[in-house]
Amino acid sequence: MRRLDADEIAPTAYAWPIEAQQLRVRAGRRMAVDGLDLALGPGVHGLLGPNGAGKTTLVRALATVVRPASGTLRLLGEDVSAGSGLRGVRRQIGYLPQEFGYYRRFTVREFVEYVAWLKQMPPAEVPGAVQRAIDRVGLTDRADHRMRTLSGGMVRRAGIAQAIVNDPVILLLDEPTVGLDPDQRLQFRTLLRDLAADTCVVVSTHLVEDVAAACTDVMLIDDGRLVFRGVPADLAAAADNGVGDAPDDGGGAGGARGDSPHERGYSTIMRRHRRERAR
Amino acid sequence: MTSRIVRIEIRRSAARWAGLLSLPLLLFAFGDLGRGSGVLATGHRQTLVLFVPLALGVGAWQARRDRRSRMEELLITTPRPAWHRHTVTAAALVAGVVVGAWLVYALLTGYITAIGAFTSFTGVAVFGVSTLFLVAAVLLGLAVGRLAPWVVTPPLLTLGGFVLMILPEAVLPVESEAHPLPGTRLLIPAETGGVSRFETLTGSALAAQATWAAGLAVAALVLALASGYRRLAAAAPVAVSLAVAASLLPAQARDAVVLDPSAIAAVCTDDAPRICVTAVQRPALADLRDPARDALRILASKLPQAPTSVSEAVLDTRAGQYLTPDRATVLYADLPTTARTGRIAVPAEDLLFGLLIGAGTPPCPFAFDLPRAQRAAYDTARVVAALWLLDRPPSSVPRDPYWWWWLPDDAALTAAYDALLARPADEQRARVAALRAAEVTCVAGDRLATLLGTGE
Repeated sequence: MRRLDADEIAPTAYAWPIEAQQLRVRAGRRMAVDGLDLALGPGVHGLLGPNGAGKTTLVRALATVVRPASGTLRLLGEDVSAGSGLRGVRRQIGYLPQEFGYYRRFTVREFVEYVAWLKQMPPAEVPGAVQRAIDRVGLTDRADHRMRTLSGGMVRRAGIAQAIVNDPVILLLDEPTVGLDPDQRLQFRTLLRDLAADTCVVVSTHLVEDVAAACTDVMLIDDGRLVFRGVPADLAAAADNGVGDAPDDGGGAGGARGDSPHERGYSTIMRRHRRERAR
Repeated sequence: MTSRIVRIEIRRSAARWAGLLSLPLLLFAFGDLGRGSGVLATGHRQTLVLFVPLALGVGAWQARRDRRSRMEELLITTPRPAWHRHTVTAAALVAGVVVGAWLVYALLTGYITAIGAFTSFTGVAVFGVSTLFLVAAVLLGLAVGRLAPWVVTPPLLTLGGFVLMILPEAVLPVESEAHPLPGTRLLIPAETGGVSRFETLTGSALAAQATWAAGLAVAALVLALASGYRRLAAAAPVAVSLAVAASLLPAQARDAVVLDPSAIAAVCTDDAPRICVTAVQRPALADLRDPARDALRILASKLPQAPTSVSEAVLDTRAGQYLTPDRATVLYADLPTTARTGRIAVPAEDLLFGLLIGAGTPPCPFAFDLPRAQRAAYDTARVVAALWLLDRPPSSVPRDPYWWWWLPDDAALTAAYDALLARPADEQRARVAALRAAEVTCVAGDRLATLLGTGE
C-alpha cells in the first residue's frame, strides 16, 4: 500500500483529464486527426478504427509527442497545444507507444526503474512502485531478466509496466494486446478494469473483443473524425438493430460482418459512416 | 535515486567497453615491467594511438542508443530534461574509463612493487593525463554521436581519430637537429618513442596536456548536454585551454622531456666499495654487486689508478655525457637487464667481462660517430683489454647480442690479442694502462694503435 499525498486526493481543477476541441493533428503531410471533439474522464476508453484512421496519431498527440496543428488540447486542465507547461502534465502520463522501443541490455526492473526516474517520481516511492508495476503485468518472475531475453508478449507487458509505474492520471496504450496470448489478454483486461476507477485510460486497438470486454466507453474513429461514441453495449446494439445497411454479403445480423455482436456493430457503423461520407 | 540510475548505466551502457580501453596495457607493458612504472606511463601513451580513436567510437556508439533502441518516442513524453539523461550516461562512461584505466594501473603497479622494481609519482602523473585524454575522447564521441546519430558515425569517428593521432608522424619530418618537432606536437598525446625509462615529461608539459584534455572534455560535455545555439559555448573551453596549453608548452617538443630525478636517483650498496645503480634498475643491484667488486679488484691488481666505485652507465643524450661524469674513479656498468624482471640477464662471468671492456670505461661519445671500420677497430681494442685483464682467450668473448651492435671480427680480435701478448709482460700492462688513460680522457685517437704500440 502506498501513502497518498494531500495533493493526490485534493479535488482537481479540471472537469476532464482529456479535453479536445476541433483537434487537428498532422502525420507527415496528411491531417490524420481532423476536427475531433473529445472529453474523457476516468475509465477505460477503447479507441477503434481501421488502419490509417488516425488512432496512433491521436494517441501520440495525447502523449505530447506531436503538437496539434490547430484546435485546443487540454490535458489535466493544462493547454498543451502551445507545447508549454508540459513537464507537470508529463509526470502524470503513462504511454505505451505502438512501436515500443526499449534498452535491450537492461533488466525489466532496471528499465521500469529508469522510466520511473525519467518521470521524476519521488525517489522513496520508486522501488515499491516498480515492483508493483511489474507484479501487475505478471512479470514478477522475470523482473531480473534482460529485456532482450523476453518474448514478444512479455516485452509488451514490460511496456505496460513502464507506462503504469508512475500511477498516471492519463494512461495511453497503443495496441497493448499485440503479442499477448489469450490468457495474458484476460489478465490485461482485469488490469484495465482495476485502473478504470481513477485513471483515464485510452486504449487504441484493432481488437473489438478487447474493447467489448474491458472498456467502459468506446470510440470509433475514421479519417481522423469521431464516428461513434458509446458504451460497449451500444456497439452491440448497433448491429442488432441492423442500422440502415443493405444485405450485401449475407453475413450476420443485418448483413454486417463479424463473429460477435460487437464486431458486427463495429462493421455496421463503419459501413454506414463510409456510405454517408460517399454521398 | 540518480546514483542508482548511474549504477544501472554503468552496468548496462558502453561504460564497460570504455573500461576495457586500458586493458591492452596489460599485454603491452607486461614484458617491460622490470623497467619500472615509467614504462606504464609511456606504454599507455603508446596505446593511445589506438585507444583514443576507439574511445571516440565507444562514445558515439553509446550516443546512438536511444535511436537504436527506438526509445526516442517514449523519452519525449517524460518530464525529466534530456540533459539529465545525457549527464548520467556521460558519468557512466567517464567512470568506466577512469576505473578501468586505474584498475589496470594498480594491478601492474602491484606487480612492479612485488618484483621490487621502480615505481614513481611522475609515472602516476603521466598516466593520469593519459586517462584524461581517454575521458575527453569518450565524451567527444558522445557529443559527436549525439549531433550525428547515424550508423556510420562511430566507425567514421574512430577512423578519423586514428588519422588525427598519427597525423604528426605523417606530416612532420623525422625529428633531427635540423628539424626539431614543435612543442605543439604534444597536443596530440600519443607517445611514439623519444622518452626513455630515465626520462619523463616536464611538469609544465604535463600541465599543458592536462589543461588541453580537460578543455576538450568540458567542450564535449557542453556539446553533448546543451541544445540549440547554447552548443556554441563549447568553443570557449577549447579556446581557453588551447591558449593556456600553448603558453605552457616549450617551443620544441624535446624540451618537454627531462631526466626523471626519481628514476636516476642512485641506489647503492651500504658497504664499500660502493656499487650503485639508478632507481629504475634497482632489481639489478643484487646481481651486479659481486661481479662489480671482482672487476674493481682485477683492475686494482693489474693497473695503476684503478676506479674505486661502480655506477650505472646512463648516457644523458642531451648533455652528451654520462650521468656521473667521472670516468677516472668510476667504473661504469652498462646493465644487460631483462625487461620483465629488471634482473641481470647474463651469467656473472659475462657481466664481469662487460664491466672490463675498455679496461673499465664506457665508450667515449666520439665513438658513436665513427665510421664502421674505425668503430670496429675501436671496439676490438677495448675487447682485447678486457681479455687481457681476465686472462681469457678471444674465443671466450660472450656471443650474447646484448653487448654488440655487431660482433667484433674474430680474426682481427685474435690478431690484436696475439700481438699484445707477444710483448713483454710489463709492456702489456703499460699498453692497457695507456688505453685506459686515453679512454678516461676520451682524447681522440686510434685506440688499437695505442694498445698495440703501432701508432707512435
